[in-house]
Amino acid sequence: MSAKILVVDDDPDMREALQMILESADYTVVSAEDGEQCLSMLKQEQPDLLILDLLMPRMDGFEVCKALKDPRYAKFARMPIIILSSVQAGVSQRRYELETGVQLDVDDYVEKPIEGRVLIERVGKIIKRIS
Amino acid sequence: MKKVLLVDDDVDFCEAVQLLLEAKGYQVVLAHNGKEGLDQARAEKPGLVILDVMMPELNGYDACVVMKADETLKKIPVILLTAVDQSVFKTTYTPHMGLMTEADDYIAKPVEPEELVKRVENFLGKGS
Repeated sequence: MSAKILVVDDDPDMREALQMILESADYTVVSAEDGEQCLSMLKQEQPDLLILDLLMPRMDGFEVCKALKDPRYAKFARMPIIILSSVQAGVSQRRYELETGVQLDVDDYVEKPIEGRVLIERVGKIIKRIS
Repeated sequence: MKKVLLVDDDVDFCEAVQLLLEAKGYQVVLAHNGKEGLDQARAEKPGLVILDVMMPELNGYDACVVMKADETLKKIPVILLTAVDQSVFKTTYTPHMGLMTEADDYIAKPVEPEELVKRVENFLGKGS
């Protein structure tokens, strides 16, 4: 069975393009438009990997990372996360540390814009590691 | 015969370009939105794809991004047709989208017929 990826991004064009790219690499893809929708979908969808945008309305990617540390989401503690954001990795890291006192603990951090096949490679590495 | 896939929702434009390129000895297949364009690219295996940017279903940027990420399609050169100046969408559109367009060439609309043929020849050589 192909790995299932949950893509979280508020830009509908981005969601659609990511979905088509990842599907062309034979992954199953579901998507959410913000952090709230992402968290509410986790239980039902049980994704193998999360691709998470940071800057989103209502609930952003930082909040999702924080929420996933909560015991309520213990089941998903080992689910890998790839951040896909136009914010530089260092800037996000500092912000998260300032807000929480701990490091932003994600499996990969990809800065937009990115080439589609590079994303596929980075996803592939993580999927290979966990399967 | 060298095959060109033209993807544009403007039927009149498609017809004009088809006549022009066929007269120059190329085979032309058509699609009218990005999704259809991807399907045609997979089915027809063209030597070159000319993609309009503003299209329903899937726009040209996204279609290009998807093509360039697809193992079976990524080697096919893509010319993006746009009414927007190339420097503008390289700097503003792409970062907004978050995915690199990676088109092999860009042509601004309106395009002179000779110019279009020249760009096609750059990738495919002269028609037969």
